[in-house]
Amino acid sequence: MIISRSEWESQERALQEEILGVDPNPDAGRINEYRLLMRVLRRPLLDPPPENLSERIVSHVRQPEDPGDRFEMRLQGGLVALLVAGVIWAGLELAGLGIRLGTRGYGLAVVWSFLVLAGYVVYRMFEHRQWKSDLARWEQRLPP
Amino acid sequence: MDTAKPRGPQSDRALVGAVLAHAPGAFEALVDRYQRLCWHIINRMVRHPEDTRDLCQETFLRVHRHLHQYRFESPLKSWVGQVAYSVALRYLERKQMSLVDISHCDAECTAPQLEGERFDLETASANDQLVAAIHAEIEALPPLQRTVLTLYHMDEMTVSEIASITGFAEGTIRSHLFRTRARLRARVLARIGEPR
Repeated sequence: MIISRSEWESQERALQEEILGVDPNPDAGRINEYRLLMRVLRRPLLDPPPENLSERIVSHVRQPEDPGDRFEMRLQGGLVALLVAGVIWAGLELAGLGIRLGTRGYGLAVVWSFLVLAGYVVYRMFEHRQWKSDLARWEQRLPP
Repeated sequence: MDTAKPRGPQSDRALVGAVLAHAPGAFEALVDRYQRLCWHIINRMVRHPEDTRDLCQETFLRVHRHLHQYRFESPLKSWVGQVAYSVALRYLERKQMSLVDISHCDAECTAPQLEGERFDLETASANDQLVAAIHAEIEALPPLQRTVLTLYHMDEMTVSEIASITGFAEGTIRSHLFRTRARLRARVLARIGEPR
C-alpha cells in the first residue's frame, strides 16, 4: 500500500496534538478520529511486568553454569564437527576420490553407519537439553 | 517511563563498562533500566505473561553473555531491544505463529474523506464500549504490527529506533504504522456505525 502523504500527516498531527494536549477542533473530523486512536494506543492494555521481575532476572543470570551442561555442549559440538567431517568423507568416497584408510570395499557403509549413529546421538542430546530446559521452566512456575 | 527517557551514549558506556568490570549492582542497574522495554517488546509479541517472563530472563541472560560484543554502534536501548525482539521472534517461529499480516488492505484501509464532518473526541473517548472495542482490535493485530504500535506510541521510540530493533527498513516500519493506524481508524468508524 502506498503511503498517502496527507493521511500520514493527519496521523502524525493527531499524535502530536494528543501528546501536547491541544484542545480538539470540532471541525477537524479526521484528526479527531485519529486522536481517539492515539489516545487508546498511548494507554494499551498490557500485562504489567511482575514486581519481582528484576530480581528474578538477576538471580536467573547469576545461576552457576552446570559443569555437566558444559561437558554436554562440548561433546555435542565435537559430534557435530565429526558429522560434518563424515559428510565430506562420504562425498569424497562417492566421487571416488576418498582415501579408503583400510576400509576398502566397506568405506561408504562404515561412513554412513557412523553418520546415522552420530546423528542419532546428537538428536537425543538436543532433545535431552530441551527437556531439561522445559523442566527448569516448569519448576520456576511452581509457587514458592 | 524509564525507557523513554533520553540517555546519552556516555551513560550507556559507563554502565556497560561497569557491568563488564563486574561492579557490584551494575548488572542490576542495567536490568532495571531496560526491563520495561524488554517486557513491552516480548509481551506485545507473545501475549503470554508467563512466557514473557521466561523470555525476558533469556534476553538478559544473552545480554549478560554477549555484552562484551556490544560496540556502541547503536544506543544500548536498541541493542537490548534487538536481543529481546530476536528472542521473541524465535519463540513465535517455534510456535509457528505468523509475525505479520501480509494481506493487502487497500480497500479496507482507505476510509472516505471526512473533512468538515464533526467527531466529538471527548464523547467518543468516554465511551467505554468503543474504547474496549479499539483495544480488542489492537489485540487482534499480528505480533509485528502490535509491537511497532506499542514502541512508537507508548515507548515513544522513533521509526529509526524501531527499524534498528526489528531489522526492517525504516520505510517498512512507516508503512506498517500508516497501514495499521488507517485500518484501525476504518474499523473504529465501522464500529461507531456512522454511514461514512
